[in-house]
Amino acid sequence: MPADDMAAPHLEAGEVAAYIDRRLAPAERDRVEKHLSACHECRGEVIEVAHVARTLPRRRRWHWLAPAVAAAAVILFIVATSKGIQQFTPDTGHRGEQGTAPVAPVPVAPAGPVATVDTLLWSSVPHTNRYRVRLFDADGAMIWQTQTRDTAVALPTSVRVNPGVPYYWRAEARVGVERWVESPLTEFTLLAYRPRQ
Amino acid sequence: MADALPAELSRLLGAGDAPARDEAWAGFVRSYSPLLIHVTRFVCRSHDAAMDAYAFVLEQLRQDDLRRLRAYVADGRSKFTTWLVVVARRLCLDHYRQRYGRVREAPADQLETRLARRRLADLVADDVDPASLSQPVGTSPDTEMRAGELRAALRTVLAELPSRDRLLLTFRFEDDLPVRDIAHALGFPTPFHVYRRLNRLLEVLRRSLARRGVEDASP
Ligand SMILES: [Zn+2]
Repeated sequence: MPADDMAAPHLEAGEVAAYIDRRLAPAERDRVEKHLSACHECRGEVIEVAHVARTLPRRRRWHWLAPAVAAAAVILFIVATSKGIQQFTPDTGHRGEQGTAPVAPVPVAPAGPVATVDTLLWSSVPHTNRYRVRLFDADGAMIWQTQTRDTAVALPTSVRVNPGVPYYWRAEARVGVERWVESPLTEFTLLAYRPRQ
Repeated sequence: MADALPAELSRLLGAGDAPARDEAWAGFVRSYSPLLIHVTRFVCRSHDAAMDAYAFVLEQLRQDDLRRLRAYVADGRSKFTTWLVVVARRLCLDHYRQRYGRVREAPADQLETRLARRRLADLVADDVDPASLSQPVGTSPDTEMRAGELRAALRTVLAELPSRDRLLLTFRFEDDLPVRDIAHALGFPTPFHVYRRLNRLLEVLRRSLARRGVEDASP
């Protein structure tokens, strides 16, 4: 229990987790929200757990993201040092192609708190020759967009990213004439410079 | 809607003898240490305190024949990882309180008082004067009384809102939380959706107050 000295019982661990995972039935959800409206301590818990849970190093994603990031880093190096490389798609190796539904690109970086933002990276989509990337500020205003054949693009220095405020971006892959599949909106925040301890 | 138990957890809970249990525990710790360390680093300020709390959490999870982990099996409504974050965070806070005392205080003012301090019209209008948002209203007996009326009316109007809307307003105006955190906690797809809902709600509040003959608490 989060507190030991209040008369009204606080939410149970299972209730908090199920609330955050959106697994409660409407009546239970309503009861939990009533408690939350009146209880500062449980609200703090819900906010923090939701934050921690969404920034967890996810094990399943991690397994294929790790090689994807490594591959993307190698590819960036190859593209930067040698023009004319045709195959620059990270091979994640773990995702099969599913039926006929077009696969959306998956943002790889930046995501969450990041120390630098110079390049946007995303996973490749089969049978596409064009990606579109859009960057939004915290108010939802689009501050930059570009198109590329690559699965990575450098952020131009003219686009100013301020530390400490959230930004959002998504990658879209063209899968037909004026048909695009888009990734989820991905949030990142540039960390302020902090000296190492 | 219970999920299948994660393999490491079901191996641990099903281990028959001490050596099997030790081995399963080692596997569990290997798998979930990144999560547990992530939680302890979030709660504790220094690296040493986080490692201390991590050891405490492991000890507590293993205690009493894995009582806490068995509680997840009995409930099982959420994902195991979300549940483990809740439990680990609670244990960290217990550990922190034991060592350093209380963690944080609740805000002094309730939602209706916070809202009454702000001019609802300004909160929805585009031309917000930022200085007006934090100024207390009650500076003379007259404005004091109007603020009191407004608070009372707000309390009534807020009580009529669906609990989710009331919670949204509480997160925003009582706790002063950033919109992106609220979006994640309440399951809005983006912060823009939160802004949209907040504007809608403030408009509803304003109209309800007007119907009751209460105008904004303009200084
Ligand atoms: Zn509570």
